[in-house]
Amino acid sequence: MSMAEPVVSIENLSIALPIGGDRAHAVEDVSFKVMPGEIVCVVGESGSGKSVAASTLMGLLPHGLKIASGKVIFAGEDLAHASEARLRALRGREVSMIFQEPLSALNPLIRVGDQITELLNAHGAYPGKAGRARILELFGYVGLPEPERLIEAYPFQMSGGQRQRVVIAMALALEPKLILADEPTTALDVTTQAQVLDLLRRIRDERGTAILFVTHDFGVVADIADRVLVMERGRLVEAGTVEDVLQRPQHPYTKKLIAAVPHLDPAALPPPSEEVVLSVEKVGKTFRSGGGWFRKARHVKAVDGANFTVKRGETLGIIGESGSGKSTLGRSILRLIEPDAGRILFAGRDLTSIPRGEFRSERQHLQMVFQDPLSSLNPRKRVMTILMDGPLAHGISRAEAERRAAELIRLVGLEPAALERFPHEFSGGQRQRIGIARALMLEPAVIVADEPVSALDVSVQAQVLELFNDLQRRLRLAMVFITHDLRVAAQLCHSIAVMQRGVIVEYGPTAEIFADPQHAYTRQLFAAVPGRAFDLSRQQHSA
Amino acid sequence: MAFTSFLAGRIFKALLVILAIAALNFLLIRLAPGDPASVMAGESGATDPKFVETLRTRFGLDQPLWKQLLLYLGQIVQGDLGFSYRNQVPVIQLILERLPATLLLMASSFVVSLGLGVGLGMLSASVRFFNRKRWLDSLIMTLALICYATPLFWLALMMVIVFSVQLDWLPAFGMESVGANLKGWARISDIAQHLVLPTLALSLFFMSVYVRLTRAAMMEVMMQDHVRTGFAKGLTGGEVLRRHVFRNALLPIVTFAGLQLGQVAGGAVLIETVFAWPGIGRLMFDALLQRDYQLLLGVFLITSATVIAFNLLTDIAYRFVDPRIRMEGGAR
Repeated sequence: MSMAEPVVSIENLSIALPIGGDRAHAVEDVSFKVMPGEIVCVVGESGSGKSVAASTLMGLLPHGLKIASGKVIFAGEDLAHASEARLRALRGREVSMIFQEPLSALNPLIRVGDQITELLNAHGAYPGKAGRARILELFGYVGLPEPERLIEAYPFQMSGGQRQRVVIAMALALEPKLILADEPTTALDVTTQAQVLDLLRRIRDERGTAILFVTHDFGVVADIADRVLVMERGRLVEAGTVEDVLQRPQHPYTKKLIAAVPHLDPAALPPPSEEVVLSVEKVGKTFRSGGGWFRKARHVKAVDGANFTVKRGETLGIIGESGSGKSTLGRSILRLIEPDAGRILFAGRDLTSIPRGEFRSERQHLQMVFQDPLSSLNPRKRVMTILMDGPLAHGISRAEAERRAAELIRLVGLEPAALERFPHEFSGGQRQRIGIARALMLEPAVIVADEPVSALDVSVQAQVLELFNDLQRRLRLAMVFITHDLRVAAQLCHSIAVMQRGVIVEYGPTAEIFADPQHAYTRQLFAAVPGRAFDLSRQQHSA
Repeated sequence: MAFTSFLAGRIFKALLVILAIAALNFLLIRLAPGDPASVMAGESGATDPKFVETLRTRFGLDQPLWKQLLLYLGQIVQGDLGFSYRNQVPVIQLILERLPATLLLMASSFVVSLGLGVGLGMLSASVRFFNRKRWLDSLIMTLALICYATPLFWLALMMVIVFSVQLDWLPAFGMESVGANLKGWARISDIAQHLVLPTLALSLFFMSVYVRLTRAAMMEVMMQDHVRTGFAKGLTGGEVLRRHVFRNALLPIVTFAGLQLGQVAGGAVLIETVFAWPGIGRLMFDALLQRDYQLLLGVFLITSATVIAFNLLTDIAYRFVDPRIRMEGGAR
């Protein structure tokens, strides 16, 4: 294979950013090759230029970006200087693409079969009846159930995993030499992610298709890559085989990124006290939708009979995939969603029995940290106001609230000057720190954090996780931490509750569940965590 | 099957809403001072309270309000809109005489504003999409802004002054040439000429809204990922624009088209007055001045029914444009 011609070879590529950007080049002097039948992962954090570098292969640079210098050689032809018509002929036929968000990547108003037919027609391939046969064959190959039925379906009628299989089927339709996959599994649940990674490996092995795989997730890299390219601020800082880069990283940035990946073995945490702060008993919530004079309402049991307790100083992880009801359960505790069954005991009192009007004063003891730190902070208010709104509403004096704000902003690792700024002036990690400070302003006893680190880059995620652990040591809160990521849970949680379709299927101390998961679903989740082999080797290294 | 039950449910609800509106109209109209008896008596110069009393008895105005309301609702359920004492003809007859003129005006201005507006909006969005001839976008947007900001009555008057008085190209008022007694094509062409100015006056505002709406909706869709997918398939820019941008931008346009159609009476009063168009708007205006309750209520009822009917049509149109709405409650 070493003698084979590369599918694509990028030589000294630089892509200019518009004037006034935070740097001159989105991509600077980058060179790499992709060989046939090889999966090359491009890794980096947001803004590293990894997606931009990949999009040059399709001639689909985002508006305002231009190739400043360098070559993109594909089958002996320099695509950097190819005409639009030539690029169009290549797109979909020789080079195709799989996108991050399978829902938005498909047109919501067109049947998926017709969307693939459109690709075939654009290149004059598989005319007439042959087109349908080809699509059915592809649907079968990518493992879609009932191809005959799904070919007529609209994207919204499919699950996320099915949609991504449709996108992959589309990418394969004309047997391209190269597939660009831009974070193709980031929006998927772990079990679905594992299946899609399997499928991509199969495509490489059976069809010899080269895949350029853009990702931020080192677990995924460990599972799928043959070679790895690491990008930092537009430059290629390290390149090598997956073993070399993951086991023997050379560049400090690579080392930092790898060190930031949370370990899958549970961390040693200070033990909680014996005092039970929060006790959830048989809590349930059923959503009713649709229903009118002529239609029967549909009922969805989002949460069914949930039981758990949280002690002072304890972090409980609620683990589950999308739609498992974990967020509904978290919000029910704060009565942001009104639970319709069971009891929630806080300091011995049943919160569900308190009338809505009186519950407002209880809110100060129970606070929430949200997933998206940007949309959960009012963009038109200064951080100081955001922090003080809660205490002022609960009758705390302005002077006292200001004192607390100044204290907490330092506690979460920001400068006091941050209080005078607006949310958009901060990075994602800093905004999440503000979100945490906001939750702490009322000195709550219970914090519910809903996926607070999933929107963050891995190195920032590591810092915020460290902050959570640090706060827990100092403040001894009862914390409910909702996440889909077992690695995150391992680093933070004393105990975990695994949810599937509204039901807690397994609940116990983190160390026990990680050592010996009992429920079939929990085992399935563990098996799907990307990069398990990589973890084993990391343990050997650190041992 | 889902569609028929949807339709049956919506029609049933619509009928209830119409009945509620009828009751509300009836009560609201009584809040205005004066009644038909006193207006008629005043006009004939009679101040004799006895005469007014007789008129009241004849019109049934001496009955308690709730009794009058029940009587009125009962009439409506039987399809009887009442009798205009003022004009001495059944209300339904008056309305049916005037309705075609208004519908003609509405239909022509709807077609003109929707066609021109969506067309210009598409053009505006496409030149941005292809990043060519951006000046065309600026020109269209400026034009739309001017049409949007100009008051309707002023525009109407200016058009009369320019095109009728100064240039003498088009007739300034009425629906047909008086006393010409034309037949066949000559009559149609005569009406068409009369239609031009009121249609334009009524269209330009809505046209500018369609321009802005279409452009904004298309530009929003352009940012979406599936547009990039379209390019990644190797489609041309034009194909992407047609199949993946415009079609997806239709929804807000349909919404607004429904709103516009619902405005039958509101916009028509002014335009029909300025251009002396013998439509339902004028009829309503006159009925209001004369306190012709039965006629006024009849016009209100017919216009509310049109609004509700067009809303229903809009909802049906949604189901054709967006499969997500069509399938709701269906699969999964």
